[in-house]
Amino acid sequence: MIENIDLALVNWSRGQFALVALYHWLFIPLTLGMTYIIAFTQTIYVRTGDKEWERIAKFWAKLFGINFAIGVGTGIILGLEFGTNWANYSWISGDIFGAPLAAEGIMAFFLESTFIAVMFFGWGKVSKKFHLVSIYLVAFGASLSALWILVANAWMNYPVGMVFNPDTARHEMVDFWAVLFSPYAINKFLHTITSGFVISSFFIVAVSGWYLLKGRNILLAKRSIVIAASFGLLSSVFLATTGDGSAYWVAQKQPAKLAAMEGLYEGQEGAGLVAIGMLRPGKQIGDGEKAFVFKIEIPKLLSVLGYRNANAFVPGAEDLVLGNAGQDIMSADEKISRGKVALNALAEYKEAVALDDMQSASAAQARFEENYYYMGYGHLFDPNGIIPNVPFIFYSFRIMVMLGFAFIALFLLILYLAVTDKLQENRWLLRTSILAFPLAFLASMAGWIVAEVGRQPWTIQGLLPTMVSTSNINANAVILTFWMFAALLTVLVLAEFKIMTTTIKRGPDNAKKGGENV
Amino acid sequence: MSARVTFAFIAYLWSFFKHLKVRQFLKTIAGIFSSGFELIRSSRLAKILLLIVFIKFMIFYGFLKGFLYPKYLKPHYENDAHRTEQVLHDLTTPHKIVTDD
Repeated sequence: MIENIDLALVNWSRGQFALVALYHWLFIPLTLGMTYIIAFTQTIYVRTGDKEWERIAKFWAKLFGINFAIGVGTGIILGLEFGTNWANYSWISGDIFGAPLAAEGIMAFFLESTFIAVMFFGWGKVSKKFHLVSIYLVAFGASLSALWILVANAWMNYPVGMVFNPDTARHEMVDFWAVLFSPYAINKFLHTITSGFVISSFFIVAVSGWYLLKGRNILLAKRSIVIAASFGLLSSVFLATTGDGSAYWVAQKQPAKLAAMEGLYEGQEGAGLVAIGMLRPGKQIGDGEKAFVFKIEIPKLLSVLGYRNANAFVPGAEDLVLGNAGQDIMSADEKISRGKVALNALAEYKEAVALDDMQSASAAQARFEENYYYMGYGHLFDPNGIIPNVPFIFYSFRIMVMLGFAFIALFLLILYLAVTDKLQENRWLLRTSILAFPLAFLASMAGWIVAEVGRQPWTIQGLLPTMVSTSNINANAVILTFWMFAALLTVLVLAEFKIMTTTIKRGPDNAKKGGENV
Repeated sequence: MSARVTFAFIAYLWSFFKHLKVRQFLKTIAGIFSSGFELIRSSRLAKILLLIVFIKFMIFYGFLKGFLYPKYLKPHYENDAHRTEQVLHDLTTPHKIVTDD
C-alpha cells in the first residue's frame, strides 16, 4: 500500500505557519527590548530624581503598551496550528515540545502579565523602587518567555534529551536539562533576544530622530538616543558574537544548512567565507558547473567559523548528497536506505506486538534503534532533497549579516554624534536612523528564513521530514484559514501602525499639534 | 486539643500577615487597580486598546479556539490509541507525492 502525500497541503501548511510566525515576530522584538530601555531610563530617574527621565520612561512605556496590547495573543494562532495543521508532528514531539511551551505559559507569561499592571498603573501608587523592580521583572519575564519558545525551536534543529517510544510513536523526554541547556538552544536564545534588543533600540532611535528632524521634544529625543544607541551598540556587538556561536553549531549539527548559507557545493579544506557573491542561476548538484557568477571570499574564514580550525574540511552540498569516503561522510542514498530499514523495522515491530510475538518485536526494535538516527531519511524520495533552497538561504544570510555589521557602525556613529551633541547638524544620519528601523526588521526576518527554511526538509532535524508532519486534513481548510489569518493579522498590524504613528505625532504630552520645543 | 491547635495556627497567621502590613499591601493593590480604571475611563487610547484586546480575544478564544477548530479544523481521533495507530501508519507506510497538476 502506498500513501499519498498532498503537496498542496504541505506547502499551504508551511506557508500559513510562516505567515503567522512572521506577523507574530513584528510585535515581539519591541516587547523584548523596549522594557529594558524603559527600565534603564527609570533607573536613572530613581537615582537622580530628575523628572524628565521619568517623563521619558512614561512615553516609551506608552508606546510599549500599544505594541503589547495589539501583539499579545497573536502567538495563540501558532499554538492552534500545531494541533490542526501539524497533528503528526505534535503527537510525535508533544512530550518534548509541550514542556517548554507549558513552562512559557505558566512561568514567564504570568510573571510578565502580573508585573505589567504595576508597570503601567503603578506610577506614583507604589514606591519608586518597587515600581522599578516591576519594570525589570516585566523585561525579565519577556526574555524568559522567549527562552522557552526558543528552547522548543532549538530542539527541532538539534534534537537531544529524548528517546523514541515505538509503542506510542512519541519522542519522550529523558533529560530535561539536556533540552534546556543544549548549546544550540543557548545560542539561539541569546542571538534572537539580542536581535530584539537591536530592533527596539532602532525603534527608539528612529522616533527620537524624527523628533529631532521636526525640532520637537528635543531633550527627550537626545536622552533617548543616548540610552537606545548605547544599548543597541552593545546588543549588536553581542549579536555578532552569538551569531558566530550559531554558525559554529550549525556547522556541527546542520551541515546542509551551512552549505546552503555559503552556496558551497564542493567541500574544501580551509574554506573561505563568501563576503559578496552572485550564485549561478540553475546550478545543480553534480553538474560540474561553477556555483558563482562572481564572488569575493575571505580566505579560510568559513573553516574557522565552523570548526575553529583554519584548515578544517567544510562539507559542501555535493559531499553531503553524494558522500565523501575520504572525509567519512555518508551519502544521502545510504542514509535513505538506513532510514527505510528503520521504518520497516518499526512496521515489523508494530505487527509483532499485535501478534504478541515478543521475540520478533525485540529483534525489530533492536534494528530500529540501530538505524533510528536515519529514520527521517526513510521518507525521502530524492537524495538532493536533503539540501535546502540554496539561493534563498544564501541571499537571506547575506542580508542578515551585512545589515548586522552595518548596524554596529551606525549605532557607533549615532552614539558618538549624540554624545558630542552634533546629531541635529547631521540630518542625513537622522533620516538614515529612521530607515534603519524597517531594515532591522528585514535583517531579523532574513535570519528567521535562514533558520527555518534552512532546516528543510525537516521539522525535526534528520528524524521527521516536513511532509510527514502534517495532519490528515483537506488542503482547502488550510487555504481558507491562511487567508483568514492573513486578513486578521494585517488588520492588527495596520491598527498598530496607525495608533503608534498617531501617538508618536502627539508626543509625550499628548499634544494634538506641535509639542514643546525644549 | 485540635481547637487549640487551630486557634494557635490562626493566631500565628494573623501575626504573620500583620507583620507583612497586609492592609497597606491591599491598599496598594487597590490603588493600582483604581489607577488602571481611571486611566481607562479618562484615556481614549486606553479605551481603543482595551477594545482591540477584547475583540481579538473574542476571535482567538471564542471563535477560533472555541468553535472553528474543535468543530471543523481539528483532526479527529477517537482516543490516544487511535491517534498512535494513525501516526505509526503515516510513519511506516511508503509515500508518493501528489500534486494538483
